[in-house]
Amino acid sequence: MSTNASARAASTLAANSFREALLAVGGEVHLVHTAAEAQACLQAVLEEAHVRELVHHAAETLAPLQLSALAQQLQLTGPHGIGPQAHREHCARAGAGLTGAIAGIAATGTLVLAAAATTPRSTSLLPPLHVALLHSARIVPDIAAALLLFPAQALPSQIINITGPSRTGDIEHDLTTGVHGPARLVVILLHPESEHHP
Amino acid sequence: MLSPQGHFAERAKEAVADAHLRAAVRRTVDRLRDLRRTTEANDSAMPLRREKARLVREHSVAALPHLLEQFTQACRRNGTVVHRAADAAEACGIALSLLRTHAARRVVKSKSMVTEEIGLNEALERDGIEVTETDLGEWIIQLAGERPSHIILPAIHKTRHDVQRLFERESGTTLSPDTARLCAHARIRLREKFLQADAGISGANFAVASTGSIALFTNEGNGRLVTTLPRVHIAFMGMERVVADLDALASMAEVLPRSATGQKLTSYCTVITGPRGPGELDGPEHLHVIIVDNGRSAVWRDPEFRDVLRCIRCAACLNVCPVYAQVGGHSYGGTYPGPIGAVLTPLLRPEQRSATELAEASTLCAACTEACPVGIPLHDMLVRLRRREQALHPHRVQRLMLRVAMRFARSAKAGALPALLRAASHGGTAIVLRKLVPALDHWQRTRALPPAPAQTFRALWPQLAQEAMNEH
Ligand code: SF4
Repeated sequence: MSTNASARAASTLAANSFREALLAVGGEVHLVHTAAEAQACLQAVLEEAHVRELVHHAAETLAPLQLSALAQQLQLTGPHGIGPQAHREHCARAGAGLTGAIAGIAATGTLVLAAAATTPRSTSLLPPLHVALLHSARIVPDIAAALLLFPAQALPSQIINITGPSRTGDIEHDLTTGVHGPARLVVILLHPESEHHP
Repeated sequence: MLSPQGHFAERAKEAVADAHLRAAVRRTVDRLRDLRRTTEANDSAMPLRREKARLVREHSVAALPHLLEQFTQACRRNGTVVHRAADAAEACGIALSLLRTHAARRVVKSKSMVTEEIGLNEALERDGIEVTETDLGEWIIQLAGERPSHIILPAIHKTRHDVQRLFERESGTTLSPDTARLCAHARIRLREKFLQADAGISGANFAVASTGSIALFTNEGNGRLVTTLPRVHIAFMGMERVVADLDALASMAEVLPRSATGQKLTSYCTVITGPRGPGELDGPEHLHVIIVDNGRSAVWRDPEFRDVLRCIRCAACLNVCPVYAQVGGHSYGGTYPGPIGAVLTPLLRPEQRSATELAEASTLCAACTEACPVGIPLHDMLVRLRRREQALHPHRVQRLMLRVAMRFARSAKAGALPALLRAASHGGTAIVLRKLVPALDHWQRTRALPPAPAQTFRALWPQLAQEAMNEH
């Protein structure tokens, strides 16, 4: 196998592991291979959930999705040119939040996000539906590896590891989702076809 | 708060009599125990994960003063303000003055055992501050005016109908007893509280010395809301919560939920390093960490018990404890129930007589020690505590034993014992025991006698003596 092919094989393994682990905790995963498929998938997920307003992280963290293509159907609110109060209000009423994950964790199906000016916390927290884009090349084995992605001497103000939807079993052990955070977590997992497919 | 009212025996008696509570606690511990065992059985690396967790915590406790110093310095670099509190009163006082400084009147809280230990809610409410617990189970308990019965599932003794009634009383609306509906109701009510709150108060599952971070592991996401929406965040941590670095934290993030609920990671695992950064649209503007001693340094200085500070509050020891399964969390009085409570509460509160008797609440079966992911020898510690209690108050225990023995020996019933026991083992246990010792009536309702032998030892003795003679 060429170096490319073995890298491809490794990321296929990682993508499959991520997918299985996330499904096991009640998350949803859509495996797509091209930017166009990712775009179509996002559109379908939002339509199906009847989302009218979408809050999202900065466009540069969401490549290759084309957010402008969604603007005809729904109201879009990103973090640029908006104050804290307006941001909070939009997040509180939006039907979905869209984020681009920094990484994924293969062993547990975890999304790794970090708070920053372009990637506020509430986007993945307040709406009832969280949609995240994840590139298969960014999947790492476990949480120890995920934490190594950040420079220890200059950590972001929050590293947010998300494994499945918000859940509780506090009433009679009856597992219920969405008590505080999103009731649904949908990951669009972009796993490009290699030119040198093995 | 860590101040048990009355004695273990009295509280336990009530709890044992409450059939509903017992059934609920039993279901909870069995379920959590099975979830943990299933996860452990399917994870061939689990013994290694536990070994690493043990080493991480052993190192944390051994290097505690150094790690706390390192943590404090790292916090200074990232804008977190660290406070040290010697006891409960000081810890509450610091929080109160911080809230006053920031003109915060409405507080949302995520689950934190150390704030229960120091009685924070009562202290804040006395000052007219509105405190809302936002973990669903903790909110239910708060509305009921009760105390948690389990570390992980605090309101598990409440039925959905209890919850429905509590929520209806709180909101003045009519609700359905359907769990999903009740959760949806809680989401709306508590979301309002989050959006109005001036300050968020959390615990800290762990603190990271090298980076000055605190980590929160939650499933509901309330821990994230508490640290995202209010403008001030105050985190409380017991002084032993600190670990060396992010790798040590990763080990904890994997082992704590596996031991608690069988999850590989909690839904949300947040690492917080300083307040909101420049240009950020949300997150607190001020972040304070209050490190609580409240008896811990005395435990640290005690070589016989220092290791108990490794505890990561996973509750695995509760879920395998036969005593806990019978009496439930309320019986232990203090904040920490089960085997860990039986060890920790008397160590943190040595002046409290009712706490020292908790060491008796164990059968010394060692199931707790076996379950503990960080290798705390809980049952050894219980024996050491008993021995210490015996050395300090030799007469108390002996007097009690003697009194029971004497009363029994004097009673006419002693002679009838063998016949009665035989009858008891043939099914009439309840009646016979009640006749024998009226005080045992209550006790025997929840216990079964082992079968009595067909012949008494006394009757067998002549023959046994003869056999013994013949062998020589
Ligand atoms: S003593 Fe061990 S088993 Fe019990 S709560 Fe603490 S860490 Fe878990």
